[in-house]
Amino acid sequence: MRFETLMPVIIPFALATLGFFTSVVVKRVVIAKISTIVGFALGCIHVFLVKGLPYYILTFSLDSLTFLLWFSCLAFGILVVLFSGPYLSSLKGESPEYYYLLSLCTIGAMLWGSTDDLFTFFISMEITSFSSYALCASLRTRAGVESAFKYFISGALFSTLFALGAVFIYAETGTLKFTKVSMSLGPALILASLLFKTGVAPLHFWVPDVYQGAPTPFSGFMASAVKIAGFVGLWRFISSTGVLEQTVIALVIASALSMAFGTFGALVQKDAKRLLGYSSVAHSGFVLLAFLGAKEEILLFYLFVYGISAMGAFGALSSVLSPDFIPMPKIREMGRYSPLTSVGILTFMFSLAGVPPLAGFIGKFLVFLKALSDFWTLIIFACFISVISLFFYLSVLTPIYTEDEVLKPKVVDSPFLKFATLVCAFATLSLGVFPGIFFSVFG
Amino acid sequence: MALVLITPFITFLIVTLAPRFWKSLAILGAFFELILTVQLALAVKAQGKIEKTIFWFPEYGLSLKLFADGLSVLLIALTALLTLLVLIHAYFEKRERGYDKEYFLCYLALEGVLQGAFLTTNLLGFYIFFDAMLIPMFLIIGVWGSGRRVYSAFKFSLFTFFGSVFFLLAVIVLGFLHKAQFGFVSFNLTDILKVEIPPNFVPWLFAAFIISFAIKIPLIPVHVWLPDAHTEAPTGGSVILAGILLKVGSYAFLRFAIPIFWDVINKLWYFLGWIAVVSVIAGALLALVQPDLKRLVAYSSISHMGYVMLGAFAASEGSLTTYGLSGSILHMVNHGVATGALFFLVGMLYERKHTRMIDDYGGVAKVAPIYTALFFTAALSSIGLPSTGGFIGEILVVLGAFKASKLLAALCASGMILSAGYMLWAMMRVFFGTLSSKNADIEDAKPYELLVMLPLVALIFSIGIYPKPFLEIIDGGVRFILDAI
Repeated sequence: MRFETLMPVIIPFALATLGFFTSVVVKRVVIAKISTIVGFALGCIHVFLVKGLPYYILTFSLDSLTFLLWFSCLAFGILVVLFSGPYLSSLKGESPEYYYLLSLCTIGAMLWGSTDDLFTFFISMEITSFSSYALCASLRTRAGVESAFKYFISGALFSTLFALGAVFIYAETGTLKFTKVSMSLGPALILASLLFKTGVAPLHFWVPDVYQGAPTPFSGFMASAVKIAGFVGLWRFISSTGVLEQTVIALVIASALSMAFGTFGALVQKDAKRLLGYSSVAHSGFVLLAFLGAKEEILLFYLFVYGISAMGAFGALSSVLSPDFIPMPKIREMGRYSPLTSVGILTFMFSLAGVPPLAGFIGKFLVFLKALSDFWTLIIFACFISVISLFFYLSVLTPIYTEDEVLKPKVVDSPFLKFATLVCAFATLSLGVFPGIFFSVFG
Repeated sequence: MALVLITPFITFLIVTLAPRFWKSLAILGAFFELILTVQLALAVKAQGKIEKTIFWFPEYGLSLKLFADGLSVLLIALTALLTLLVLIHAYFEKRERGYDKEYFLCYLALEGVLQGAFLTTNLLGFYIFFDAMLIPMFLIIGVWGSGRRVYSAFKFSLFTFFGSVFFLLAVIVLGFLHKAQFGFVSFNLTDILKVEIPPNFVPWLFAAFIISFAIKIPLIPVHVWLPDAHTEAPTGGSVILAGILLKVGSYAFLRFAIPIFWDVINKLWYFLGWIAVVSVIAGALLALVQPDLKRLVAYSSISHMGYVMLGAFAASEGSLTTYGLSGSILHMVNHGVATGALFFLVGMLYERKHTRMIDDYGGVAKVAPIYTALFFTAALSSIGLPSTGGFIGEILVVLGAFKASKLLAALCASGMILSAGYMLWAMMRVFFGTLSSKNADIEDAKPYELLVMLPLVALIFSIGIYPKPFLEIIDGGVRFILDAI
């Protein structure tokens, strides 16, 4: 047993636990915050240290999927702490348990996508989910609690279905490891449960509600790290059990439905966070398209690029002083009073819409490139969807830049928030202009 | 050559970071870019063409091949010139909506992207630059525009994006076909030209190309975004939009669509020629009835882009005509200069009286004689009066069309008469007649406005009186197309 392979998981957990209890005892939130962020940073470094060791430890395999997943969970963890700090303290909602739950959520997500054992898979999925439920309600607003409750009720149902599916698979194969199975009730239940967790239509109904009600930076975390973990786990499951080849039709339908529901749903939204929730559903459709293209590195690129744009978008929106909803009028003339975050939002919106030279375009291009020969009808549909989606992404920018009133509302103004926005925007732009960087690091 | 591509972006960075004097720095950068492009144009005149390959992301066929010849180099120089003039104009202009730095940055980004589009012959690279224009242009119209600016910006973005997404699909398919036939993905034009496109793919790919470019040009059924975008954009935005952005469509048509799909165009040229002629005439007729001076100039753009495309479609005896092609390329430049000048002038008038309605003016020549003279020069070039640039371009297009089809040439020539009709009639109503008391305080052209206009006026006359050097450069571009087909 070589436990140093799991250091990227152990260090953040140990530091966060230590920091949490210390900060509870001495009643200083800042200790929990700093230990969490230091833990994430050290974990990030360790990810690079353990890279290249072809280890298989306990049930975790350290391949390129795991490598990217761990790196992105920890990196998004750092970003979300940077965004959350000023946001929560402006809303007087900062507490040590927020950061502790955030670390748990991150660690759960890291384990979720890197295991090939149904039992560990279930446990880590539940760690992520339960800490998410709590975090959604962490500001104790009506909308936050409502979103947490909705998420919890439906999430618990689908977790049960997952457990049931695992039982069926165990009954059939006699093992909880991912092995080749034929498509039957067991894999179908697991697939449904994972499609729910990743917010794929027609199981997407919770996404807009939850993203809208949760604290803004954490919505970004759900849209990036948690989503990446879910998709990586799903990919690991369906590719190593051979379910992928047997469910192509279902995935095609789910992909088309996600794009359609996400895009048409977003068109009529009057709330920026809800709109981004629907956009997340639409992007799930594109990720499934990458599944169908069956090229791992492109899937990873798309997930990472979507994650960083979504994290940045929610993070930049967290400069708006609101514990839950952000209706469009609330971001009027933001370009004047917070120019930097507005430029960030501009970058993320065009990246999400897939306009070059931003990273979202390269992601979309590579997905199209790989899936075109077999799924050209779906791709043409996706093209129409992209055009329509530009409309609602632009409609987020309209209030920011084109209104005429002069107003100066109270905003969350902090160098950390600006720095994190800049990092996301810079990553979005540089991965769009030089996509080769990504493949040389993670390929 | 790479410097031509990079300079606008470097200027962009410097201006972003500079706390003071950034306006002057931006103008300085644009001026340096203009010098570089003129140098490039002279080099192309001497050598015919210049190539350079930059590796960028070769695993997926994304290497940039920079290429300049007679087809593109004049447009490259025009881009640099118009951007410089727009920035000088913006230096003095008052903007009610503020965001001054962002305004300059948008133009610098737009310049860089446009140079990229004209400089690359990699289809995917071209697509990236082609589509990236959307971001600064959306902002220019949406943020600093007038009236229904948000509506117009949305309309512009959605139309352009609609066309370009399908262009992207077609490009990917071509890359695939190259991989199927040669074993590796490539989007370079020289490689794509070797690909044998299966007959059942041809109509779809051709449709994707032509719809995308037709929206950008714009040809008549898909022109509806143009009048709104041009009218509501700020002065500089209209100048760049009409002067250069429209040319990206026609340039792409000449550079990519004609060589790749020559067989289809050879069969369909008569039909396409009709679309172009309809654009010429309908654009002119629509311009005739506009009460808004800026909208009138916008519709005249549709008409003029019809000439450009007719020159490109005029095929006879299984090949394109030299006259038609050189007319087409020259007319792109002429139209960029003349319409750019007209948009500047309309913008100057709007700044003075805050109205663009023709009926609100009258007798302006009495109080602003120099301004009137400038307007006349630009308008006469737009009409195509001999001794101005517009004449040379239009006559070459008509000559080319005459070789291909006498009917199309005749109809196209009648478009010239219509253009005289709408332009002269509008000028008569604005500049002559009785001067109303509320217009008596219109100032004549200010020094900076003269500074902006003089290079354009000089170009109008130099192309009109001595077109030889320009035509020599263009010949290289014509040869490129004729060799490819």
